[in-house]
Amino acid sequence: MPDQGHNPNLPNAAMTHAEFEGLLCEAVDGTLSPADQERFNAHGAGCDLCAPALAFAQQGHRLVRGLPEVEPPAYLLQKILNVTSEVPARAPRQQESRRWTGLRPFFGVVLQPRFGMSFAMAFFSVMLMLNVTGVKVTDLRYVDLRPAAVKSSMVRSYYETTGRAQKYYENLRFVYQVQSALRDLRNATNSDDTQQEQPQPQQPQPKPQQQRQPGDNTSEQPQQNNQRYSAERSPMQLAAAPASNNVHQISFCADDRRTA
Amino acid sequence: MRQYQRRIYNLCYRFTGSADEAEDLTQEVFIKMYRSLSSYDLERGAFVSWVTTLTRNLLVDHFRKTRQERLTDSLDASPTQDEDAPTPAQQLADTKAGPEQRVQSGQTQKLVQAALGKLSPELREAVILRDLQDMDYREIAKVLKVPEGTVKSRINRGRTELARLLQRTHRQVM
Repeated sequence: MPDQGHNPNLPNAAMTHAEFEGLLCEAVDGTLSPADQERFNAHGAGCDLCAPALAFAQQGHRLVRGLPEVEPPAYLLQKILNVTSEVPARAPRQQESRRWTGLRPFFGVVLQPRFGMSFAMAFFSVMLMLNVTGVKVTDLRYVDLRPAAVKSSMVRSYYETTGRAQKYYENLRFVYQVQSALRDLRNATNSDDTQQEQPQPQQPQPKPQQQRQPGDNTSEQPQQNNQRYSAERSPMQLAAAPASNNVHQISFCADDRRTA
Repeated sequence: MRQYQRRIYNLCYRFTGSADEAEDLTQEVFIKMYRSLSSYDLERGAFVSWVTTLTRNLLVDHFRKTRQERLTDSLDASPTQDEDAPTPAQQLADTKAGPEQRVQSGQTQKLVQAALGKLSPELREAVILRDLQDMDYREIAKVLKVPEGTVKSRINRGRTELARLLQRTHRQVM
């Protein structure tokens, strides 16, 4: 067989292999013109290379053509009708969203849930700050948004807040001072009451082991001990006590009370 | 609607080889058709071509999505787990009946369907549109968005490869 694809054994067929292959599909489908079909058949009958290709193509065509039409399930039509009847509710929304198609690349990223939550938290924080600093959004005017006005407002807010905090802590210190003074006063009152309400013994038992000498008292309150000493000791004991001016006076007082 | 449902279902079934997938895809095609009905232009082509293009696009998308999940069963594998059951090759080896009679049998149809599923999607869709949907070359070229010469070439290659595939797997058949 020559390289050009011509078959020298077929005088009426001036058809190459490439041409045969190009017409193969139409020949199998039967859409070739009678003249072309005759040339095609002639080439196919005499060419050992093209004949198997024709046979395979016809075989494949016949096998696929032999596949029957499949009957769709009976419920499919009703299912499709049910599904498509729900579609119109979403269709207008889709048309409406087409207006924003140009902005979708930008907003598509921004409208993600994580960004949405971040924006919500930022908005909440700003509103909280404005509420704490006493700024009302409805009271804001264009004039208030000038840099000088914003600066003076911020300075004023700073000093007001600082002053408020300072005043609070000073008030707190004053309260502590008052509370401590009241506590001291209460303690002093309680100690006086306990001294006055302490009863005198009827028959005091001498306890020479526990008698304290004036030189033994090393406590920090010598005056109180002296007072208790005079109150607890009987006149007899006082008489035996070392002579001092105070003791004599007290003993005299006791004698006067007894004579009366 | 009944007419198009039948046509679309057959196209989907022959392309996927699965009745369940064909059902789902048919439903999707109708939903898509219903939503984009306003975009249909009568001057650009027949309604059948438009519907077929929609179906074809959906099938190609489905093919890409399920590429990893697709089964690669050999034609030699028996469809049942029974070891004593005859293989498809043995069934096709029955020479008592002629080729046309074998095509009529259900098992042979399954084998042809399986062989069709082994073709590349480009060849498969061309063969299906031509031999099963009876579309002419110009319509197919419009649907597939390729020249008519390419369509003819794909149809021819698809048929030849299908026949060779079946013959290679089951030598006695052809």
